[in-house]
Amino acid sequence: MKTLLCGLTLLIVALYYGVLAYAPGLLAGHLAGWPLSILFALAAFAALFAITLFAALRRDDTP
Amino acid sequence: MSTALLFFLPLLVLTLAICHLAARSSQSAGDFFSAGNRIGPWQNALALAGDYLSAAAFLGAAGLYFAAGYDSLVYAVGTLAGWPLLMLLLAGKLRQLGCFTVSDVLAQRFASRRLRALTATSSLLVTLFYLIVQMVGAGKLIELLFGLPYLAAVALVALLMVGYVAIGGMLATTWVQMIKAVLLLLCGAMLAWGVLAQFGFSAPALFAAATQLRGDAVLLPGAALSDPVELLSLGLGLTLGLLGLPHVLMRFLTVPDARAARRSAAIATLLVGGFFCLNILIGYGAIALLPAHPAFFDAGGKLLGGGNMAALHLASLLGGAPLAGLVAAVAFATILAVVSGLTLAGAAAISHDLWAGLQHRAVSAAEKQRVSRYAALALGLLALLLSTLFQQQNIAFVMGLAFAIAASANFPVLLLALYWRDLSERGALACAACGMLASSVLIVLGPAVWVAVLGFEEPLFPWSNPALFAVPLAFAAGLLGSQRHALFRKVKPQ
Repeated sequence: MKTLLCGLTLLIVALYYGVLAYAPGLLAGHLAGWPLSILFALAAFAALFAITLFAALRRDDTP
Repeated sequence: MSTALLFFLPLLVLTLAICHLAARSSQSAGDFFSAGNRIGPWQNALALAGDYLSAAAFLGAAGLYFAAGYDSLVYAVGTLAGWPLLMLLLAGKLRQLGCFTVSDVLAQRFASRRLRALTATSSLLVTLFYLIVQMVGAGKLIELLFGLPYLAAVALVALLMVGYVAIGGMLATTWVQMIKAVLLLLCGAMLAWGVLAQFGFSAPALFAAATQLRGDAVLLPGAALSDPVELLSLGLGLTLGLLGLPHVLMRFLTVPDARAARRSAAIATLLVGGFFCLNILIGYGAIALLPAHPAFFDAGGKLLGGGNMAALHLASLLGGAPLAGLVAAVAFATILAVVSGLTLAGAAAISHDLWAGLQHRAVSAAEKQRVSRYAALALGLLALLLSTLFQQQNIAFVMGLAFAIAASANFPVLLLALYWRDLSERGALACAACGMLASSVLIVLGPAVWVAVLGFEEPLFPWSNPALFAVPLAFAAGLLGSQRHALFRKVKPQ
């Protein structure tokens, strides 16, 4: 599970920086008044929070 | 007396009192270096967040939003991504092993003085870069607030930080960090609230106002990050850099067990992420609101006190002198707390890893503590000197360089030592040396130092952020060094 969560975290980073580096045009627009680029960063924040919370709230038997 | 001083002096007295109290309750070297392992997860989380939310994360980030818009958010995503990895990969493991520094982890596997010296040197290098960031922020802040010359301002900070560390040790820095983290989060919330109030509590209206002034480009990576290689290198350095920061890693030894270490890292992730969300509003608020007020700009159209002072001017605009005074005092406390943690990490690397680790005799705890105090003084002087060289750089940018060194020099060898059974001493040496050399040399040859500091016309290495090259190189050196070692072992006659 630890490997999976680390992989997911790295995937989020790769996706975020990959889109910014190679297709920044995709983020030039708005959704309900919010800039897509800001929403994209907030989505990355939310995904990182979710991974952290999931890992923290799992039953932790390791001493 | 100015309003800033009204907030600044009580905070200074409070932190010095804390330092005095901590000194009285720190009886042993264990108390001095790791607060006696009795800090709770919530307290440690606040101290971790406090360590992380430095001058760069507050003053530098707001300044970078103001100067380059979305670029600042690009830094935030990368740095936040390091936190879940820190929790998953290192927090529990470091506490379980009872390791204080990167050198301690390696010492558990290899009895090598060379390796200890090398990893201690790389930790010192990271600490020094990070110290420069804080000192530049502090110098500019005090210069602006009290009219002190830059050199006198950084000398004052150096004096205070050496005092905190030499007298109070880890307990004092932890308490100061906790108070500062709470104050910083409150300040951030007040500024963000103030910005939103100007736009009818509508974030889209705020972004629209910023776009109206600067165009749509303010919502996309700027010219400095238009090169995909630069952008990917920055992302990698920021994400992995956290996992190599000595002053963050040593915090996991202050809690009672591995479970508390993991919990503290998780809580810190949420606190840091929450602050970054507030920073978006503060940064775009500065873009949208400050240009209409010429009082914040000099004759050349530049922000008074430099770009790093955008948050302070925004506070002045939103809440007048009282809010500006509070923000300035909290920013200064932020810097003092972080430099104290950094100085302690640097002093520990010198006394614990270099002095004690390289002696051919047993070194007593009292001697380590004494060496730490001298080391703190030496670090203070060195940081003072270097901060004068980097005073014109954006501090969030210089922090990116510190992260790149931490990601390349400390993280690969730490990860391999903790998780790869076949890592040999030769491999660990190759990994740490390659990471440190590659990242340092590429930074010096890149535009950030070769052009901006040394004044040459063209950089010898085209990118400012070296992590994309230095991190894989460090891993490759570690793997190849260990495999070569294994190969020789196999062919050796039995």
